[in-house]
Amino acid sequence: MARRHSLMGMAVAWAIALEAGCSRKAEVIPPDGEVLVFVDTDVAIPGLASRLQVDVYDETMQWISSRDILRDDPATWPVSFTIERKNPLGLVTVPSAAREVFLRLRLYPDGKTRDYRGEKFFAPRPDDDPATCPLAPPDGYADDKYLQQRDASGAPLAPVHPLREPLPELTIDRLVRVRVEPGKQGSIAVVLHGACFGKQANLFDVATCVDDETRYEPVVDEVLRTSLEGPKTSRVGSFPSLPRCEASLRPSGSFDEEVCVEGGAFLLGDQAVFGYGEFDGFPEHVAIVPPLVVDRFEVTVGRFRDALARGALPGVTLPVVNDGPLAPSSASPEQPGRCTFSTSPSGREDYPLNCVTFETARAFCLAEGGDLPTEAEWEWVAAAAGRTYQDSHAWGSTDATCDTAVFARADSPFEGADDCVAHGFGVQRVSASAPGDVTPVYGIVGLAGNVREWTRDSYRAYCSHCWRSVSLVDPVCDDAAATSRTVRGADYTDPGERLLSGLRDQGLAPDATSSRVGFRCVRRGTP
Amino acid sequence: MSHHRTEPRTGVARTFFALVTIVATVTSMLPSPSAFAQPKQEAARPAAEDPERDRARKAFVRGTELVRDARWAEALAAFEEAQATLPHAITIYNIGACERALGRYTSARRTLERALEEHESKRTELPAALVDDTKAFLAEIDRLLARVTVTVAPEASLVVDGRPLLVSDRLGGRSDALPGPRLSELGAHAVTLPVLVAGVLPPAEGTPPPSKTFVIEMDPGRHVLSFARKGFSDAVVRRDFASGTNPPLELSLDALPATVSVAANEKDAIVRLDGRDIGPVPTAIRRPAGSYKVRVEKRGFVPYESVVTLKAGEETDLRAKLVKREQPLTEKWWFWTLTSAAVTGAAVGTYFLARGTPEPKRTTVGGGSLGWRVDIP
Repeated sequence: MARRHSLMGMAVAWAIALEAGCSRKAEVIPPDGEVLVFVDTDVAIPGLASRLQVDVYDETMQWISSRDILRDDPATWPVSFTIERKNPLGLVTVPSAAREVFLRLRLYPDGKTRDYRGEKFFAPRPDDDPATCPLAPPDGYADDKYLQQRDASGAPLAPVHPLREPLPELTIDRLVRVRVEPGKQGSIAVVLHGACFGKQANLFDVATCVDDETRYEPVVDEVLRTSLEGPKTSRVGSFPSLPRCEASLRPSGSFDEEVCVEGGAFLLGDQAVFGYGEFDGFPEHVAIVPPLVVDRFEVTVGRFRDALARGALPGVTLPVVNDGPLAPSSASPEQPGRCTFSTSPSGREDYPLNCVTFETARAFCLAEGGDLPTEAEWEWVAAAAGRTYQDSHAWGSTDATCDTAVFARADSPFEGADDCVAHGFGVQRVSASAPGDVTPVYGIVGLAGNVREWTRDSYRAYCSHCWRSVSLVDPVCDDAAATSRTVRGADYTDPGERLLSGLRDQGLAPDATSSRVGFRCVRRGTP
Repeated sequence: MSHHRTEPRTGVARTFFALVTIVATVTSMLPSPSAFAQPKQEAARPAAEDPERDRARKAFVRGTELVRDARWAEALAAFEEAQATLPHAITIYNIGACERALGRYTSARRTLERALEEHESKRTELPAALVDDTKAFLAEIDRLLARVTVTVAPEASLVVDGRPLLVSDRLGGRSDALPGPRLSELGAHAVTLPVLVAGVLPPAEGTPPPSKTFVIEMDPGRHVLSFARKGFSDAVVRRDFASGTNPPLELSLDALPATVSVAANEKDAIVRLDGRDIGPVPTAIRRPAGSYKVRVEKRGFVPYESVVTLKAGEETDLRAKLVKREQPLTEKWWFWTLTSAAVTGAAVGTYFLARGTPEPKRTTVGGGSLGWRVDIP
């Protein structure tokens, strides 16, 4: 009761006061300069990116402020914040000068950072050797002034910078310029396009990738919209725009079935692939693979023999012939006794064809209307296609076991290389991989173990200029000077820990053969 | 085993004099003045055998033979072995002469001084000719040594070629006052620089010099001077130092920045360092050493404030505990009664105020969905 009476008293008092007071209008004065910045993206959140780093600089590129924000829920996009130029005299309507500010917006996957180095964009040079990795930018490019603050007299203060920065290869890095004028309110909307993945903003020449990976555009003032409304809907997930996989599949016979695999964008490479061989799985970079038709199994002896019989492979170098039985044990996997091909069928028609050169393998795939897969295509299928999150192994992210994949089936002296010999020695029929070495959704068999597989790419480090100059869509490193081609996956002689989808520990000369290397073919997934 | 400490000194002396009755100079092998004490072969025939003495004698004889072949390093080892078993001024002298021949002037000087001290103590003696040679060597070494005056700020521990320095009992001037007078020869108020000798102590951690400015004595040649201090970046000088006085070195060590990592029990809390917006937690900031005011704030929570003092090179973790603001006043039993009284009063006040000039209005956009407002100065 007391409360009700009190409220009534309040209402009456206010009504009287307002009636009297509001008869005079308050003066409306110009607002502070404010720019509302909307940031949206077209890439999949959180699959390809989930963190936004914003650095604000003044017109002389002196650093003002930074934020690193986790936004891994697509429903929270677009995000917005304001840039303000306060009137220093508060309510007194003396306008202060307009200021221009630079915003560096970097969108990247959570956790993909490195220790801060402060080096800036530098363009690839035409005389760069495709095989080498750039170690440092040229003189003058490593300049810390972009995170330098100065005091009122212009003297430099101690440098202040974050401890970590996004990995440039996995970052959409956009530079925009905004004019903040006292008395003016407005907004800008910036879309961070997936086409700019890996294109570091050029703070030196003030240029940035906007929506085309092949172009750096000069940074100009963003046009201020008077509306303070942001985009109605977000564009998250609309990149890349790829057609559906619609190729018609050939009628299948024995182990020559095809699978239509949808395309997509993913992180090519795996930081966990380190120290296994000549090249590691990093730096990771974003790659887009268009839809493709993939052989469900590795090419078998029988399938190759049929092509020979059809006369589809004129003049090719035949695989190494083994007219005897498969060697039950040997000191070397490179002896003919480990090869599966024979002059006439001898009970190994459903074994993967091994001991075959790159040239012959590629000739076979071309004759079948396709080609060998690129490394990106191979890894897309083995790690990402059909999955929400990328996996470490072809079948998922669990470790390999002897009864589900073909590995450690050799008498090699390497640790763990004979752990699974009890399940059968050496190369196995393609169906032997089927219990566990199968990708989810698409059911592609034998990517991880049994035999490795030829790919189309030259065997070069991911940091090399060859890889740094590939395009985002359908990347392939093809360097005429390279002496070997990459083989992907692991094989029957490898210990279980090597069955990683990102493994790229070996290359092989295109005219060399190995009992540990076979192949499968791919072709375009669109008519 | 109980020979030299407990036996009368004459026993030791007799053995050695039996061994070294004549000091033959081997001037052909050493630049003048040079001398190696060596035994007269036929005299080297001791009587009753103590295995220790026997070993010392053999090592000594081996040393003199090695000297003849100019195998200084091996000779040095042989003499050191003899000296370890049976100390004698002549053996010490021979060690110093080997070190000098090897170009280890700072060690040689120290050894030769020890030989003279041993001689002056009369425990074991040097023949008069060797005393003269020793003094000549010392004068020569003083001319050959490289000297450099070093000033380093802030004080930092120092190693030269991985070895700490020996604080000498000499005092050096800033320029060419060396060889200086001994400390004991100076009055208490003499102001000269301490002298640190390189190359005489075994490899170990560095030690801080006794003052900011000091003189280093080194063998001439290339040396690596490394200065280190916790919280500062190392300073390393690699340089050839010539005999005599070298140009002074002035070094300053840069303070390493400190790192403060700030976390909080609430997501999306904002960290401010001395009022500057650093961003949401968790965050790590690198700053020069000093004191900073850290404030962690989030709407609806009582801000956390702390002053952290960062030392150079230090890494500090700070975890802010944010607690929710008090229960809203509107839920307190006394709120409505007091408010009704206050509002009635305020309403009357408002009426009178509103009759004057109304307060100007300024519209604002706010911080967007991130709640972040970047204020351009």
